[in-house]
Amino acid sequence: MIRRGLIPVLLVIVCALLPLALTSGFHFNLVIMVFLAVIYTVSLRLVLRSGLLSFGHSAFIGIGAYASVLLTMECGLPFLVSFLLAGVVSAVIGGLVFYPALKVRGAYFVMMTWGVCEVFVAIYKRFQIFGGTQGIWGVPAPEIFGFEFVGKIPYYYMAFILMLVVILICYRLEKSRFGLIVRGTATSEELSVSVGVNIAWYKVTNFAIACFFAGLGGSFLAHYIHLVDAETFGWFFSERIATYMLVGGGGSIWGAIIGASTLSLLHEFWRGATEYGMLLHGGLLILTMLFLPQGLVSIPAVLKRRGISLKIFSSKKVAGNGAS
Amino acid sequence: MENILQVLLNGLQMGLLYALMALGFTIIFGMMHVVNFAHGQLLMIGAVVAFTLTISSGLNYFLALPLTILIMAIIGFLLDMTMFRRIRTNIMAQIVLSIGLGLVLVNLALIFYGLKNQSIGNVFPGTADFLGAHLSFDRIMAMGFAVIFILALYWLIKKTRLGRAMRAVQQNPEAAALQGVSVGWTYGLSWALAAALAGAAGALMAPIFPVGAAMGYRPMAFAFVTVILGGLGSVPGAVVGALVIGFAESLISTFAGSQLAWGAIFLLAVIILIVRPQGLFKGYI
Repeated sequence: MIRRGLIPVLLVIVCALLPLALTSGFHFNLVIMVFLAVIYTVSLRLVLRSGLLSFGHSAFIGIGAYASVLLTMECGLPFLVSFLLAGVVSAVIGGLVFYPALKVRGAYFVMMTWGVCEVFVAIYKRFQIFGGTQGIWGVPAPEIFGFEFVGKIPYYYMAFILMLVVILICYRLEKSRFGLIVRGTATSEELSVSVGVNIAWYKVTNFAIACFFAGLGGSFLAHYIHLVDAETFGWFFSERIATYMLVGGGGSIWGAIIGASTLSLLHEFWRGATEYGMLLHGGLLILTMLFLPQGLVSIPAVLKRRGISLKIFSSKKVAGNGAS
Repeated sequence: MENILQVLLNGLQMGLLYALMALGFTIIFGMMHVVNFAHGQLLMIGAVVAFTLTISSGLNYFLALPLTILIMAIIGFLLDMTMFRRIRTNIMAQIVLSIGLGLVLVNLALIFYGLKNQSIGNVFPGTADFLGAHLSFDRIMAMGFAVIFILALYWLIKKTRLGRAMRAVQQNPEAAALQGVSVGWTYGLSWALAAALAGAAGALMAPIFPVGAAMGYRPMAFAFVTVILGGLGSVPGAVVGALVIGFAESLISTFAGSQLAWGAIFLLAVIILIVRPQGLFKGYI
């Protein structure tokens, strides 16, 4: 029997040692893209926890990317400063967009965020400072305290550490007083107001935190692929992140991680065989939603309901559930 | 200086086609609160079916049009029966399902129809001229059919038993069921209706625009803005909203470039959702 707490530790050790086993740049790229997808998805789940499904996450990733690129290339700031500032810019703009939209919810929020996404893409394409439709090429490699990023390994560890930090902060946030209040505003807004919670403050801050992480991810992406292109931050990107989250299962942070890693891996693999690959991808989304509407993360629960139990998950927790 | 009448006529014609799209979108949203991200792909499939029937099977366009609509209605009904019905209460799952469905439809079209990007050609060759504006007979025909379909839908929703059932289920499914309305059938038929409208828009676009797997995205994006403009779930609102969008697109594209038109229309949608989420015309029409 394996204790549940061991799984994350094992995963971290495997990921930390993985570069020893990876040989080609293609495989490094694959894993880095998975890490980035996990960052985006886990931060998007913060928004979901306040009861809203956002289809505009890519807009804030894009803001982070453009902010970081402009700060390093136009203002000559060092990478680490513009990296953090990119997150801040993204968070501030996120808060400014979200604050007037506090009353928008449900499917209307889905549509509004979709619109926000398209508006930002149109702005990038329209104004020359953002490189217009061409985008900005030749984004310099990051340099932290004189250490220049050469090859894939520094990028790998930076993405890995960023992912760990984002996951840990989101996990702590979920268990904290702040996270519980945010959850409360989603479950019953009236009740939260009646016990004196300032809903606007909590919701906007929560959204801004999600945008902050998205901005950091975007900044890393821009400096990793060395270019920013308006078209990539369009609605398709948001849609992908949202489906990662919901296919994995929005109910827990594990769902976001599982969804992002499996689907983004498949996505990267299917890049070559576009039509059949995307056909399978769409089919996978349909089948998951039909048979596991709570996401891939609910597989053990579904199996258990059917009377099949998995050895690794039959720890104390399951026994406790049985007794209650 | 562009001919202003020409710009307005183009806007009117696009607006009427967007209205067909938006009506289907708003029916599904009003009934099930599901943002159907596959709606644009239903239009594309409609156009591809019309293309296949006319060009590949050599059918007359006026036979192909009703046949396309019928096929699309059956597809819509089957989609609801096999998929959406199973997860009716889970709106987020339905959204993801519709995204998956959109992916499947686009890629099926790419596999079976290919990368072709051609229109089915003129049904009526020739152009009508008046006051210096030109309008091909095909566009006039598309406008005529669109008006007929919109009026037929309005009659269906206001006057028939099915329309009453749809409105009842939209207001309160449990109460409707207690009054003897079959909720499952009503949902299924609404899906059939929505898919048929999207298919009709696709078949009407086929003689005018190139038919290709990517043709659905722009009309769907505009359908979604239209529906926000007109108020979600409102039939007259969708028609007026579509006309506004059609004119706005035509005017802004002509005088300031199509890129700006795209961004401006979305900005309008975001502002309306924030300021007036019930739609611009609620209470007026």
